[in-house]
Amino acid sequence: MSVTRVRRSAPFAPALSAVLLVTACGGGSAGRPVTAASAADCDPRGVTIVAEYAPQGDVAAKLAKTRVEAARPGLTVKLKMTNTAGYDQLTQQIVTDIAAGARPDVAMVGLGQIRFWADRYQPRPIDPATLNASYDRRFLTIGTVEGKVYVAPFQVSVPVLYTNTKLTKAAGVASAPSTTGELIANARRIRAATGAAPVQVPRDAIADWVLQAVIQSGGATFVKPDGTPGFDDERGRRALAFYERLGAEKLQDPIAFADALKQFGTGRLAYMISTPAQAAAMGKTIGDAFPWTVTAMPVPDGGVASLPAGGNGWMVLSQDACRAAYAGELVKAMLDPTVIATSSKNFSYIPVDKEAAKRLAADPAAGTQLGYPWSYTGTPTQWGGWHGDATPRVNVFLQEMVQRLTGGESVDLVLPDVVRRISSAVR
Amino acid sequence: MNERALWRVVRAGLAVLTASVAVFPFVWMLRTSVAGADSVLVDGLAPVPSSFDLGNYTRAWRQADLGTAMLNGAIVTVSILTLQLLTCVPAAYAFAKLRFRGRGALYLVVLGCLLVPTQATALPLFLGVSSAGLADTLAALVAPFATSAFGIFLMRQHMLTIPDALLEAARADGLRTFSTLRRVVVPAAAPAIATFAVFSIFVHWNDYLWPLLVARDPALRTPPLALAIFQQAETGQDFGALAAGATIITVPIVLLFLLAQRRFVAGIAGGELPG
Amino acid sequence: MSVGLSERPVGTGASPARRGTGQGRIAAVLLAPAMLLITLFVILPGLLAFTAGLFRVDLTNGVRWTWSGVENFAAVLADPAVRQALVNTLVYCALTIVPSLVIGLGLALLANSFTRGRKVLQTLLFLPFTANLVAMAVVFRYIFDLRGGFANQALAVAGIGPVNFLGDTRYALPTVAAVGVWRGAALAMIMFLAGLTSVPTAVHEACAADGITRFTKLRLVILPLLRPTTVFVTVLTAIQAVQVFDTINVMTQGGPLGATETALTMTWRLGFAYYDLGQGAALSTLLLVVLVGAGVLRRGALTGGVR
Repeated sequence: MSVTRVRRSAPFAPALSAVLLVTACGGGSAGRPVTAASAADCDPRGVTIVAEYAPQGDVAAKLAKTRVEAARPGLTVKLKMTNTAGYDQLTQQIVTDIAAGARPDVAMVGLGQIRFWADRYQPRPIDPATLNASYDRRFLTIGTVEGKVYVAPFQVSVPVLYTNTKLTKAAGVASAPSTTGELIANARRIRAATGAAPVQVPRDAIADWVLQAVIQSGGATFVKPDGTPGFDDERGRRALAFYERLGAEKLQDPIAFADALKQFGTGRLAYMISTPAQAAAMGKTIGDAFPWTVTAMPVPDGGVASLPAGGNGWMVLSQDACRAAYAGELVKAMLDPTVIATSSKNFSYIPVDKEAAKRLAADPAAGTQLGYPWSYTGTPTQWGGWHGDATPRVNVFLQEMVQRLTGGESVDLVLPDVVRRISSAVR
Repeated sequence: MNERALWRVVRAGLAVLTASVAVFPFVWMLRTSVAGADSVLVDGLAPVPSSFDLGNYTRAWRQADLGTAMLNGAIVTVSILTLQLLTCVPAAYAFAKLRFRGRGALYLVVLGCLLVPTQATALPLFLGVSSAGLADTLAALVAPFATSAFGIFLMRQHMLTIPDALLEAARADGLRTFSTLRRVVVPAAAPAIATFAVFSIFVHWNDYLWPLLVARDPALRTPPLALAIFQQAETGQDFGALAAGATIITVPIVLLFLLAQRRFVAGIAGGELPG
Repeated sequence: MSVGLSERPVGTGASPARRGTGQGRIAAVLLAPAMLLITLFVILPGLLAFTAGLFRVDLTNGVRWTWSGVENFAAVLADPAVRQALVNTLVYCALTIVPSLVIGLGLALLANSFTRGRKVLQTLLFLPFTANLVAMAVVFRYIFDLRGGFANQALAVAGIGPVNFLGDTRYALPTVAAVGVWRGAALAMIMFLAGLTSVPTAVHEACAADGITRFTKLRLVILPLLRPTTVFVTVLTAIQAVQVFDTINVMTQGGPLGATETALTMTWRLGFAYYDLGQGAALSTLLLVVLVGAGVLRRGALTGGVR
């Protein structure tokens, strides 16, 4: 974008330009590098910092507010909890707030949108040294873009497999599949027994997340360093054949993820790939109706698990050095081991704190469906990673690819078409 | 006589059928609202859940803070409706019964506004409201809807049918414009006004997009916004509480409709003026 | 009735509308609040929104506009997803406008023909319009579920195999349209009811005295009397159909494979999901142009013949 052609106001009506000027100036000094400051060198009196987040961050935010305000007398932490239904909506709200001049200092960000924020909004890098000693640093790679940590992951999940073991046992399947090949073979047997399509891999909602897991675990590259898709190769095709099989053999009904959850909850579905964060709600729905398990997501045959991290993290958007210092302290307080242990327990997230993980390992619920993520030892990768603001568009294309493949079309037909569209969208 | 009896049967059958179709999803919602977590999801038609949990209602009420939300909703919808009536009735009357230069052109502008979707203007409006310092205030929830092109259109359409003789008579009685409006036009246009009121109340009570943009403060949440807490995409939906909450917020407006009904369908027939 | 002094003598046959320019000032006073608010909250934001179609709008630091000419319009018109959304909008209109009107009128006549139980009936029939859509979307997903949903269980009784109502690209739009009619007919009914109750009782008495049959009365007497009502119900239903958003947003988000994407959900997607406000604005401008075109063609009906 050429700066000389930027116009700060619409040329057609003075009244409108007035409105625009006010809003345009609200953004302040974005983009200008600000030298790092230490909170100790700043005067907190009269300073207000704002944290904006979705409901799942509320407990952490309230605790952090109390702590930081106590430690820095005179500082006010304003909490803005938005009642958004998902991370896309949360991002939309923060984007519109920033456009209106209300840029928060700390924001919750869906882990699939890190690259968008890093490319477009100059978040302030987080110094890992400032985080709690017990914070599990292996998760920082998730929030890293070009060597800088922009997001401190908070509630993290990886795709998992839900199995209705009543249905699988009845078909003579004893153990959970570890590869997609096994999953397909088991599914054929179960379908022979029940007559109904036994598998659901997300076709919307979190479709791109699971697709990325399949592609990466099959050894293919999801996003190349230049920002273009990297899975139009032999490995990518082999990984995607999993979806093609499901569609061609009609092992999966073409329904939405929400309906798939219902099918699983009512005991009609043997396998579904989902997020552990749904396990608590699923447990309530199922009750004692039938036994079920949460296990590792099967990887394409010959592949190694490489799972993108879902969930959310905290990001510092302050433009002023002192506010950024306070925002950093707020993020540190939000990542409190007790808060992490509680939210991991309630919503079955992977604990990002070693202290919390230790506590959860000793928890009696560790052996239940909720416990799988608590003992997860892998290192998840970054989710998404499409450059600039291409992510939402690309995700629509990826979702369409999943829907077409599970609808019975072939990889050879769908893949080149989708890759071409993604390539033109990321340009 | 036979034909009459047949018609009665057909009519009753039609009434039962159409009412069933209209009501069926609500029965389902009620069912879900009292179902225990393990019987929220069922197959087919099972009007009575296998386990009950009235805790859905307490959860809906507390977690979503529906008390505050409904108070906000009431304030917002009533304020909007009041402002709309105050602005639309006179404007509609002017378009219907007064002769002035530019009337046709101005009315076309109003009609054009009917065609502008609120989704298209949402962002500029939000930026304007924010720059006016109104973000996160009740005023921001109300102001953009203070008048309604649709209201003007609907009421003008009805006011065209008011006989000029009636207005002449009012004039002959020495009524000035505002008294004429209040004592003749408003009663004569009552069905249109009532129709519009019902429309406006329901639309704004259930509005989601605009409140989502401007009301971030939990204390300002309107009912649909408050219910969104049970709709978290990531951690799963709480269908029981969602259905209970939806029931809670639907009851008052249905009651309102029942009460308004008398006003709205009776007493206008034959052109006699009620009140 | 008291006889008072009138400001002006009443001329025989002179309608108030013929009073001349003395009414200009009164009209200005009566119109000022509404027109001011419309200008502020519809016209200005509307102009702004539509003008954005000619710019690249960057929100990252306040609002920056970069002139881009017709680039956005070209991009929107070349986008197959947009073309699909426009076609879907037309199909949705065809599937909902006339059915909503006809069913709404039928329901109003039905409710109006009852004396006992009429209030209960019209309240029940009106319920769909009161629905909280977010909660209803969940209910409708139950009803139209592929396996175990009520609709498919009912079809199974009739021996028809399960229909993937919301998952199949062929059925998703008609299914969403059915929900649209479910709500639209309720709204149309209530408007028609208001119109029907304004039919003077004398008309009914006269028809009864002349022994006119129900159907003839409906065709020759009631429908012509309902004309003003019909005009605004039609306009309202048409606008709601063209601008359908909520129902789709909560039920399918435009899927599967864009089968239920409509002009407005696409506008919202471009602007708020892709952060491409310029393209979103370009699409809403195109939509508005088409609508205004249609409105101009039907101007006579809209203005009720008074020009």
